[in-house]
Amino acid sequence: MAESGFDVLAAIKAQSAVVALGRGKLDAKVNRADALMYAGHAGQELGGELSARFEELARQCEESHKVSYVWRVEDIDSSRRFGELVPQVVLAGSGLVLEGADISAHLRGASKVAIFACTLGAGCDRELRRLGALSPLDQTLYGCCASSLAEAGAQEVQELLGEEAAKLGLEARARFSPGYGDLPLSVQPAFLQALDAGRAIGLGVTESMLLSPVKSVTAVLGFFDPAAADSSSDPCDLCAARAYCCYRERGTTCRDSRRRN
Amino acid sequence: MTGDYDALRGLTVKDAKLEAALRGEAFLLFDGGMGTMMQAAGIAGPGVVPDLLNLSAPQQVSAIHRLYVEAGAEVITCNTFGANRRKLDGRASVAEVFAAAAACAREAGARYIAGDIGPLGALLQPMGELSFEEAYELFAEQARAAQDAGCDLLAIETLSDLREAKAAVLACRENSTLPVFLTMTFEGDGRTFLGTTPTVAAATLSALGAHAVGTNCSLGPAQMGGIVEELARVCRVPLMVQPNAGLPRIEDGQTVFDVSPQDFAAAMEGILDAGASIVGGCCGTTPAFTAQLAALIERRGTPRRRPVCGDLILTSAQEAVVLPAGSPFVAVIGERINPTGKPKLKAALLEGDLDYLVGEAAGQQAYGADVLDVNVGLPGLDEPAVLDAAVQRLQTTCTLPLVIDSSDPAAVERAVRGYAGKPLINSVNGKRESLAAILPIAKRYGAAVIGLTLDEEGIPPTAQGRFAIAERIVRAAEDCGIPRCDVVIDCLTMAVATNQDEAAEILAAIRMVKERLGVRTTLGVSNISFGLPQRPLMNASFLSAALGAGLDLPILNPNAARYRDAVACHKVITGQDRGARSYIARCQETPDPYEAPAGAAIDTGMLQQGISLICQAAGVELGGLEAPAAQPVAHAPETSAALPVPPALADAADLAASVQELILSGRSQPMPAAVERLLEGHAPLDVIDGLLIPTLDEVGRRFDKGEYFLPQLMASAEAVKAGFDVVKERLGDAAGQQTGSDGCIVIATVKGDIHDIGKNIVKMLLENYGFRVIDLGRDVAPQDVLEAVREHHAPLVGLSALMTTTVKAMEETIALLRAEEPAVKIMVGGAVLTEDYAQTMGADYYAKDAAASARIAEACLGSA
Repeated sequence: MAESGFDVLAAIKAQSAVVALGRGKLDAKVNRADALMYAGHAGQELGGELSARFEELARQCEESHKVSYVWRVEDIDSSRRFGELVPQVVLAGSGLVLEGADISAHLRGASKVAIFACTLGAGCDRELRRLGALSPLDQTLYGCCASSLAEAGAQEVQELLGEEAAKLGLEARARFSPGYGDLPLSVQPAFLQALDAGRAIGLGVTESMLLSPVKSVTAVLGFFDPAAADSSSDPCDLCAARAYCCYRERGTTCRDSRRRN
Repeated sequence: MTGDYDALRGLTVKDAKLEAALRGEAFLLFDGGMGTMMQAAGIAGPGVVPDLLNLSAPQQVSAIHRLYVEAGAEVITCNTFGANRRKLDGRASVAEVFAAAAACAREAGARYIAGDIGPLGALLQPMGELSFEEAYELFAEQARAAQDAGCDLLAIETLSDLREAKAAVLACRENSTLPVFLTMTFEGDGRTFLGTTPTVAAATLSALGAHAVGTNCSLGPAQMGGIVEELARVCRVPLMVQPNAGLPRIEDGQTVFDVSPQDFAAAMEGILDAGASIVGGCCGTTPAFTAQLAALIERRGTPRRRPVCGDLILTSAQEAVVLPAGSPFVAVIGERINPTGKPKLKAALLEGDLDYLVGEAAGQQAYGADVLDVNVGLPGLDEPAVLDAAVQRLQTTCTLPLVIDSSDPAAVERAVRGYAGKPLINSVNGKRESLAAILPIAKRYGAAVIGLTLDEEGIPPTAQGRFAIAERIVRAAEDCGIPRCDVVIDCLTMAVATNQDEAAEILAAIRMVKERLGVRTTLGVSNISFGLPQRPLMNASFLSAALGAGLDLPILNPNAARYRDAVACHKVITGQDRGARSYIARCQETPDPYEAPAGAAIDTGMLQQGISLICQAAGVELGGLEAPAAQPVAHAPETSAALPVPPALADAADLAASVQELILSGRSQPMPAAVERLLEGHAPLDVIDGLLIPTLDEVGRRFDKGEYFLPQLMASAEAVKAGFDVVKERLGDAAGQQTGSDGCIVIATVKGDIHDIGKNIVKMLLENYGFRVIDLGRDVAPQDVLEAVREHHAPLVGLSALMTTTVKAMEETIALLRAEEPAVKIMVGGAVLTEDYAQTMGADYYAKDAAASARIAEACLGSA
């Protein structure tokens, strides 16, 4: 780049605290038990017809939507780690600020931080709108299948990040999303900007901080030295819905079917 | 060719070279990536708004531009990608940023300065909250600022929403006199994130009046080949291509792009071969890439001329229907969305129930319609508003291109303006007044248009007379700048019973119009049989004759098998169905109705006419619209727990028990036949109040106890609805107004919230309890809820919100209702709500689930 008057790559290198980035698409599977659980299933006997209808929608959902994802791994800006009024974690490459005691605790001791977003895309929203007009039951079942598909996609991205962590001799731990605990949803625009998620996977956020397309996940997770103690807390302790959670009422949690599978 | 019309007339075109480029006769070289260069210059980084650097670091911005000028770029793209009012958010005015940015480009010695306009950064409805008109205003402000700043052209780029692109082109065309270039971003699968294909983008945007159309970003030049070729085939204006230097990745801590300047230029050879004439680079490209491109263009001299596309292309935002110039191609226009003679559709429109239209659209699509006609003309209806709402609803739920059908130019204009694709307007005619009103709308919004062969004198009886009007319409269209491939002529069918000699004239007119004017034709065939018995037979035969004469776009009811048969045969005869594959597959699925013994198979036409009694005799049930589902009625109950049969139905206890069973097990398909039988000899109200509602109540109890989960409750509600519909039909219109206008419930998902599945479940259940529900949809402003309550005198309102962030809008809605309509009762529901919170907000009821909402409605309004 001699003719340009300055060294592009050297300049980027000097500034960059981005360790790695990636994007792609993957095929995921609807976890049937998860999807039914989202619809409120708690062991009821499904009739043959309903179960066939559910299966057909689950299959359509899997065939119609791939999961697009984008991720980045960054250093933590340690200069801004302490001494702030609100506990926070700042990512050194993108400047993303993650505010709150819960996310700070979640990432305490992390060597690197990974952020990612994944989405089923606008086609899924369109199909949900169409089904909403034709059959609310199909819309409900399809919506639950799509949620499960997005969740499965997020888990696969987590696994990819686990491999990235391993390359660095580190271990990727549990993920944490905007809206959990005291990490506000209002971080979503900055979160997506840090990932350039609009350009990378077509993911945006509405003025009321809802992700659009709807079936999408954003999350952050820490890369830790495997020897470091896991200080992350029970997710239920951070959950705003804990007091009236319908799963806890039944003596289970929203993560239980996943543990089973 | 389009007469004397010149697309560049009235434009401010800086010099002859730019004019040559706009006519596709010369290359035009744009610069390359800006973001990487600004980072490298040390002026961009976390927290820095790039557009503000024009004000805070003008020398550095200008220095980057200068590097591109020195590398040979003719067009310098201003650093204004995000400079809209929304993104600047008060940190600087749009005008200031554009002025500073243009000054930076000028300072660098740019030959042409492009005002850069990126996506708004806010999602348009229905993905987000921004309306089409708000988007238009944001773009308009940028267009004015760019022209005032001295830009020579406008470059709209990196869009993935075709509707946003349409708003941008319209805003730029109508608020500046500068040439408008627009590029969309396609992904590896050949579509934008919102599903737009290159054909859709090129056909829609070049018809809309963009002066150059193309693609930028996302992919490297080697991956763009297919996309560029597709664009080149249909694009009527110069083709613009700005690839990335491949994909960014981190290698040893450094951001690198896959493609070197040399490889980039080598891959651009193919893109120039495909016909691109305006080129540059996007992310990751640097002046080194520009220099390579400059050398490449220098070697080539002039761009490859592309043939002008004469195809008729209609588009939605996702799909294109292409009628290729010079080859036979039949595309069916589905006519079902038209209230004339359709009482259910009429009632749905009067009720504002647009879901019904979506159902009609889905049905026609399933039966092979290629395009859908949308007509909502009804006395007493605000046609511009309703047509617009119908089109909005359909375009977000159905991917078929639409025909905007209205005799009211105001309604046509409003609907085509907000439509994301390239619609067909139905219609203009030979009257001076009609030509003057409709053609400018078609031109302004890049629509194709149907021309009816009638004028001030009426419909000429002869082929020659019809042809003469068609010729006049085509000429008038071309004078407006509408190419003749976008004109479709309707030679107008007359009843053969009253004008027998005219039938042959109609067919002759179609032939003349096709051969002499070279335009496409359309025809609504069913008028031919008016006054005759067995109308479908006559219609199908006339349809075949008209197709033979050259009819391209028959307007018909695609749900009718007979018409589909005629079209299917014609497609084989003319070679559109290669190898008769579709025809043969179709014959395997559907036996010849003249051959099939009664009862052995179901004539799809009969089923569709709803002759359910015959089906019963044959021992089969209606499945879907007409699928010959061979499903025996289940007599053996699957679910135990017998419910008491009401005394009024005691003489048909078995039948009543099987209806209960169907509801409890959530099976809709056998319901209509069973309820039909029950209605023979029993009062409709005994069936509703004695059987359907109590059984649904039992389902509700089981749901409350956790014996059933939500989908089971909903399946049962669907089964009740299937039965209810039969009873309603029996009772006629009286049942449609069960609870009268005083008993209705207004429901809405509050402002800012786009998650409406919960609300839809509530709506379904309430309706199946017999309540009249006014569904305002999602993202509904408080004021709209209030107005609906007033208009319908609703005693009860249901509000839903999914997220903590949108509960605030729920509070505002409640506060407004409390202040303005204190008598109305309010129930609320949603994932994050609790009983306590509902009370704090001032709601009367907290509905923890859909079953609870039905109980609240009963308590409030009494049993429906």
